[in-house]
Amino acid sequence: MNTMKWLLKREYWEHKGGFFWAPVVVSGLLALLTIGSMLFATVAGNKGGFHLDGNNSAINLQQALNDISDPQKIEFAKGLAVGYPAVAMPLMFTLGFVVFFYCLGSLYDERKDRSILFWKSLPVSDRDTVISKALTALVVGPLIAIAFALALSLLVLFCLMVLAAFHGLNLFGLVLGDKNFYLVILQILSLIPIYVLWALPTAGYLLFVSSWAKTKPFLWAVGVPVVGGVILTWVNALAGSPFVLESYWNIIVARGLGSVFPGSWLGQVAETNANINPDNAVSMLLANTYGMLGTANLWIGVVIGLVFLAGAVKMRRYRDEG
Amino acid sequence: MSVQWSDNSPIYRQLKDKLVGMMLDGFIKPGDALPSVRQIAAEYQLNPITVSRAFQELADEQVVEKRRGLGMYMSENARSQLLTSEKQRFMQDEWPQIAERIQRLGLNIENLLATTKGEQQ
Amino acid sequence: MSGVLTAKGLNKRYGKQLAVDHINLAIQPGRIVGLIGPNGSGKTTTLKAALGLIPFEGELKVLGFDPRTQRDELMNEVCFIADVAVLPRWIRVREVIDFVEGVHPKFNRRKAKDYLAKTKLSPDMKVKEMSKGMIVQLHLAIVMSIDAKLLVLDEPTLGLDILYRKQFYQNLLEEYFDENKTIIVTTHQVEEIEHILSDLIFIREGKITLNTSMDEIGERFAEVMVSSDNYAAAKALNPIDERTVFGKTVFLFDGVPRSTLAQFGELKTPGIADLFVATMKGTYA
Repeated sequence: MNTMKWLLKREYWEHKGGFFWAPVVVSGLLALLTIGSMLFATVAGNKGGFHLDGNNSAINLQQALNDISDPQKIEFAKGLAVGYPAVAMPLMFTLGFVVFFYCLGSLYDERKDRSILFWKSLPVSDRDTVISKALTALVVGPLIAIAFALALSLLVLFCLMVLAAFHGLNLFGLVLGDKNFYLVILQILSLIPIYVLWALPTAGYLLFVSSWAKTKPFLWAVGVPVVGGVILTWVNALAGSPFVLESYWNIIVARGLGSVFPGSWLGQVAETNANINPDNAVSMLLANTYGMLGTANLWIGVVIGLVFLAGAVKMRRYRDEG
Repeated sequence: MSVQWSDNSPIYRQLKDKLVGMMLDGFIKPGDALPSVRQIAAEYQLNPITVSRAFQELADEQVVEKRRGLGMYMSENARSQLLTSEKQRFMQDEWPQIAERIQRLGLNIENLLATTKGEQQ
Repeated sequence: MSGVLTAKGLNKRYGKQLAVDHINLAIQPGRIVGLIGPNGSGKTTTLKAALGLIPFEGELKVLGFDPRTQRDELMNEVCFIADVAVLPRWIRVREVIDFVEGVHPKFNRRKAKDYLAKTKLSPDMKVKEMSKGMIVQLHLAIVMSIDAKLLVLDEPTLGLDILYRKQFYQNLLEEYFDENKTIIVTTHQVEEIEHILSDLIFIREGKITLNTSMDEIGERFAEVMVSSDNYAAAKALNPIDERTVFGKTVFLFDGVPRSTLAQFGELKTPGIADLFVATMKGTYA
């Protein structure tokens, strides 16, 4: 019996809105926005209203593109080959929200509409159920989002290059011949394991609240840390501020609630190299990301996440519903 | 089939009587298959055990016979069997009560018979 | 312990309230058992304990499994309908069939398709588009396609109109039930299932007030209408209930031989409803 496969399917069917339609809508909007502005720029540029180098003199776009020197062309193509996925950043940001609210709702909704009594009438363990939800949140969701991100980025890149070629600047060879164009896809995919580990405490915490709260899980999940922090700050202030509470807000609120946002681990990175260029941008991203494996922060978070998940399993197993 | 079962006798016996009635009236003919336990249970909303019990008694009285793998069938000589047992029941249970009632009401049996004969003609 | 469900000293407390008070049960296979009781009597709590949905104290074995520690194994052999409408509202007919087939080793897809063919349900319909009766049809079709040894139905026809209710039991009896299966039903609509049951359990305030087979009821209990002459004599035999019908007294006796009672008049077997009212009234146990 391939139970896990069906559990994952159930999660997708049940939450298609967040995992499928949200990326569709956001991708669509982004595509419209970027391609639209590109078209606008070319049209405006052709009419002579496009300022390329900061001078006040209007330059004809066609002319400008023709004037680009070869070294400049190569640098530009390199940047595109590495940076084209950047257009899809809003999608990854959306994913953070989707994962947050998915975790918060998934064990709560089935209790609220009592469908848990149906799920529990089948030979599927609570442990497998909670695991399937964690997997959906941390692996399936991101994979789908990345798929959309890629589709979107390639589409936008393609349109950009077509428009450029239309005006005499042929980048196709340079971009598609650049190994980074292909590597960056794999490199983005390789971030997923770190995302799983980093986001685990938040996902676990939210799933736990989802399994525990009798009502209004959002208020509980967000309210408890925030209100707790406010009270602490207030008490601290009354006592003459003996403690620095910045780490509370950092850990409990930012890390506790925000880890589901892809890339949020980069905020923890100690050293920043100011000299970022297309050649080292991705490897830096990867290095900083994989560097997290050496931090206590990551692994403590993993343990906390697993503890919360175990708690969620216990809640679902023994709580008296309906 | 919404049937009103009376509370005078066990359901299985009432069901048996019903089946007997169907056989006597010719709705079920000798050699015919009876509906299955399941079908009767479902249609009359009864427990299958109850239905089985009715069938068992009919089988014991040799009114129906069990054909292996096929189900219950009305016996060839069922009619005569039934008439015998129905007659017996009438004589033992029903007639004494009716006779007592006739007496209680102060009626004369011969007059009664005459009236029924008259109605029949 | 053999037997489908055996309980010894089953106990469940909610705070100060004792929902189930040290009850004993022994349900045999091939039976259709009615667990009848008013709201808050502990019948739902007992079922939930048996299905491993809540923790409890005491001894309880269902199909040989302890629902506290062996729930996963138990759920391969038990099926239940906890309420009329617990199917998830977002799910489609084909999705729920696919899911159950994918996770339940004893599900028979063809059977489900056959049952659904007799309804107006189509594969793409969502539960939220269905009436209550249709949801029950779907849930029942799924349940009947699972070869479970025990089926637990907690108020399965609550709020359904009569056509769906009759169809429900008709389908169960015709297509599903056999001597290897056991069904436990709780319901308020006692008259509806009166003749379907093979065994009867009354529960009240956490305690079992009656546990008997339907056959025994005819032998054990008798109702008789007595005239005023016989009133005192009948009363002396300790009836468990007395009520008035059209100005005449009707006594209900438990365990008094029919031969003794025949002198007072025509004996009737009480219906479950009357028996229920009678046993619920006093502290009779």
